[in-house]
Amino acid sequence: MIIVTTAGISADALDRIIEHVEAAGLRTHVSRGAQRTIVGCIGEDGLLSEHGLTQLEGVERVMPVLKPYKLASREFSLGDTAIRLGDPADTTIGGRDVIVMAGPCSVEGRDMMFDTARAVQQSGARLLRGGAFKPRSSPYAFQGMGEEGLRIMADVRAETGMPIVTEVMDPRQVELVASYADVMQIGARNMQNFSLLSEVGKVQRPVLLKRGLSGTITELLMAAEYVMAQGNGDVMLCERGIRTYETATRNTMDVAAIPVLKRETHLPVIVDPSHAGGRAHLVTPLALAAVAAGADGLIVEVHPDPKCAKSDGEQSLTPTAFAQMMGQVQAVARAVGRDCAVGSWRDEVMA
Amino acid sequence: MSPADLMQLTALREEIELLDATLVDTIARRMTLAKEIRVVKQRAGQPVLDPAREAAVVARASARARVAGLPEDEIRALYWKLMALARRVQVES
Repeated sequence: MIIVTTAGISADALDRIIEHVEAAGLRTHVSRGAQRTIVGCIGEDGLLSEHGLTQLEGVERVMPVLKPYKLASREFSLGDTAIRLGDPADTTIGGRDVIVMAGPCSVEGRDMMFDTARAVQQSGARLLRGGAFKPRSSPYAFQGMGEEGLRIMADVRAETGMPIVTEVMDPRQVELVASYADVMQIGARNMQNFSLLSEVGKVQRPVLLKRGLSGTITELLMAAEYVMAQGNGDVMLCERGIRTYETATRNTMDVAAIPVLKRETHLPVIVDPSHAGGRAHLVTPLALAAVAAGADGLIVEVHPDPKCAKSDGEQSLTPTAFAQMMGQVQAVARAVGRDCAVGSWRDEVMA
Repeated sequence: MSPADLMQLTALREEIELLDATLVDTIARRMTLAKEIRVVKQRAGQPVLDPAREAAVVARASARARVAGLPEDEIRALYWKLMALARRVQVES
């Protein structure tokens, strides 16, 4: 249930509305706009008498929410969620600019991480990605460098100023990963690992939540709801391709999911063209399609020497290919009324 | 960082450490009182969960946060955590 207040409601009147709802055993989520404020009610609506609510000072109208997700739904928020990152916080995800996160699939060593970070940053990437804990389909494949990988990423952040995004796979690792990462990624295979979702919800770190291989859009939003219900509202949703009968691509990028999500939720939408396509030559076209369709950001795999990558080499871009992609991403972003900063290095590559 | 800045940073951090210790002691004292309330509630046959009371406590903290110039939403979230903690302590005691 959503309570829409009258314009210019006083703080005291708003307090009384919130207390009225919470005294009935429901929780509230307040979204303040320039004119109106809305109070989202979370819990059993039956506990509240709608009649009683409309009698309270400052209540303009009361509306039911029919969607299973509440906190994630657009109706619960008056504006888009913008997540600010960095120190100083100069990167906003969910704003006008398309934000690009780039880096290798796995942290493989100190030098390769520094080299990749500098290259992608010079081409305009704002965040550095890299996996320290890797969920691999085979138990015999490279499993990641663990905490040593996190330490390397933190060192790279100290040098470059790039916030880092890295995956957390296990509820027991949440505190450890949160002590290094700026953004905690929940991988596609863990989209419905509800204990992990709850655990990252308790830590006040932005979360990049990837859509499961067979996850519907509603299931993705319900997974976000799990994180948000614990008090962490900084969730980004990531479309990374879904499993279909098609084998020419690793997954099928669901472009339509982007406008659907933008309509359903106030949360930023990120697209991972690397996992969606699974082949390096598909990454740029898919990235451009994502930006054209309204994505707030991209997460792209870049490796200094993809042939020798310990994981996902076939879908990783070289730094040069990434620089070229960034120029095209900027052009498409501008064509749809947004922007994307590209760096000086890209100009040298393109010259 | 200059030596003067470093000294100031250390002094400020020490002050924060002292405050943190007081905060934890205060929370511990709050939980002890919650357990005592549990005993009284049990004697009176009342349930642990009292939504109206919790809502009033959170509303009071929120109003106080506003006066103190603190972000109300964050203080509310913090107080709901305290409510949950107190409830757990009461149930487990």
